[in-house]
Amino acid sequence: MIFFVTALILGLALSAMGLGIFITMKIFKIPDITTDGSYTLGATVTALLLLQDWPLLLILLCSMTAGALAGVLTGLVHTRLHIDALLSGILVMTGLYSVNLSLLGRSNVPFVGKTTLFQQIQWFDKPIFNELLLVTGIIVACVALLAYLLRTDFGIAMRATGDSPAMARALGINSKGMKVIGLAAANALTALSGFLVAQYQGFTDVSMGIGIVLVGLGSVLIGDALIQWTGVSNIALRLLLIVAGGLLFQLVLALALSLGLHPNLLKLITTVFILAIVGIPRLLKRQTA
Amino acid sequence: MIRLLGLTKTFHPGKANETRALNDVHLDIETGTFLVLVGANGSGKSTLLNMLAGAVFPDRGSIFLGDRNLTRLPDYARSRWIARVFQDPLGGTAPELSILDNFRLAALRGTAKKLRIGTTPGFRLQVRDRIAGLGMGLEDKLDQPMGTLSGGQRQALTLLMSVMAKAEVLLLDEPTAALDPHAAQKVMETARQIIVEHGLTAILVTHDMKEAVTYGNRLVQMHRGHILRDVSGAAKQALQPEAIYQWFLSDKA
Repeated sequence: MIFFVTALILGLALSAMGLGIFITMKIFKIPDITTDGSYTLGATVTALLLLQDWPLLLILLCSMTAGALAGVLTGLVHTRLHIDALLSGILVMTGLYSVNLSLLGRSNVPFVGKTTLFQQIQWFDKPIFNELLLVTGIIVACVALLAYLLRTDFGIAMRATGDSPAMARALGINSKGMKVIGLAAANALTALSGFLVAQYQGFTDVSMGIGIVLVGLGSVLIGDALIQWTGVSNIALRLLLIVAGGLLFQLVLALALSLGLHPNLLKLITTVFILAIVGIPRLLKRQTA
Repeated sequence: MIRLLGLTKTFHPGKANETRALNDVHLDIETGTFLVLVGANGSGKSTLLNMLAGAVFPDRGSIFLGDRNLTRLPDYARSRWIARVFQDPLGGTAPELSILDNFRLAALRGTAKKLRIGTTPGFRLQVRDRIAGLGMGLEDKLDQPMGTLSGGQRQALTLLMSVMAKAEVLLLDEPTAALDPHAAQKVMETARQIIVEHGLTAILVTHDMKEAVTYGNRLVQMHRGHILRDVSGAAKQALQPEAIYQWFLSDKA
């Protein structure tokens, strides 16, 4: 039981990143993998400021701003230097590894004796439910904010940029600027996941972001399958289904571990799982065609 | 008035596939003119239209709209005055967005898109009214994604969208090329009506000679990057499709 609640908390913490990947992949149709770097960057900034006893709200803002800057960098490389989005992301992500390592000073920084976000409320006797409530609150706030943003005039313009670039430009939308803003928002959300996960596990590790983009991708793919299946077009519901996709993803991983899977194989299982999500529908389609 | 002064454009200069798309094109278009632009493939008419829209910049020459010099202004900045309908019905609309969201963006063409909800009940009613005028029964489908409509429906809506915000110039880039004859006629009639109602200066690029003689009050034929013929007034009204076919044949010889 506890095991699955833990998976749920982790899933919620990582679903901020899922929302970020939804923005880049589904709204802007850009494959952005700055994620690995900006996730660790969020966790790194959290570690540095937590050790200096900064207030949590400020740490949150700084982490997300750092992530947003990483996204801006990728966006500028992509739109100004006309470098392929995937390569731009790889460049920034790789560079960030050294930045993170330099900032941390060593590969692993534990938050021993520091009060993290997850010790802020004590409404339930079992700490795990306090943790669940906290992270749920944050993700619900994210979804609400994002759903509102995407329904505003600015948000519609954002969605049009990825959906129909020619139309967007003809209607006076600066699509380059819009992409940079979108990448900034996406990576700010990814850094938020880094902020949450680092505090949940109680340390920041420089390699915690390696391959994490796949987890976000998994939640978007599962979430998108749910969206297609239910046929919802309401943007708030779609975002909630992306979060649900992230939770489902973590639960499957937790299930695999509880069945005795060696943790070393976790990334391989992640890969195979995503391959299955992407591959099986295509194989089925080919058979019916 | 639109004033084009000595527009010149070469694609891929210095390479084997170098193409002189426009060669010193001068053209004055009075406000309220409905100009039809014809010419063989590669004659430069699409380049000229793209240049007016700001999607392509000239190597030499300048573009004026009234007193405003547009020459170096990118397309999204020109959109305040210039509306555009593309050949591909998919190009002018966002397929995943609802009809209502598409119209909301169109209403904000060339102005800032702010962080507020603009698809208010009032706006919805306004869009409903306009779409009802088309007589296509689309006014009850405002929340449907644009991508679920037929090409003709989308093109007709694109035309309506083009006048949701105040425009001075309407660029029509073979708007009916992908449509069946019936839908094409509906779209062209909608275009004519909108152009007259809003007093727009319009430029229509077309390969359909019947369309070229039926619509517009001035016809310009382009050939190898420059203007070959320029007919307006009674001469334009008297033009027959066969006459234009003859021009094309004789130019080739």
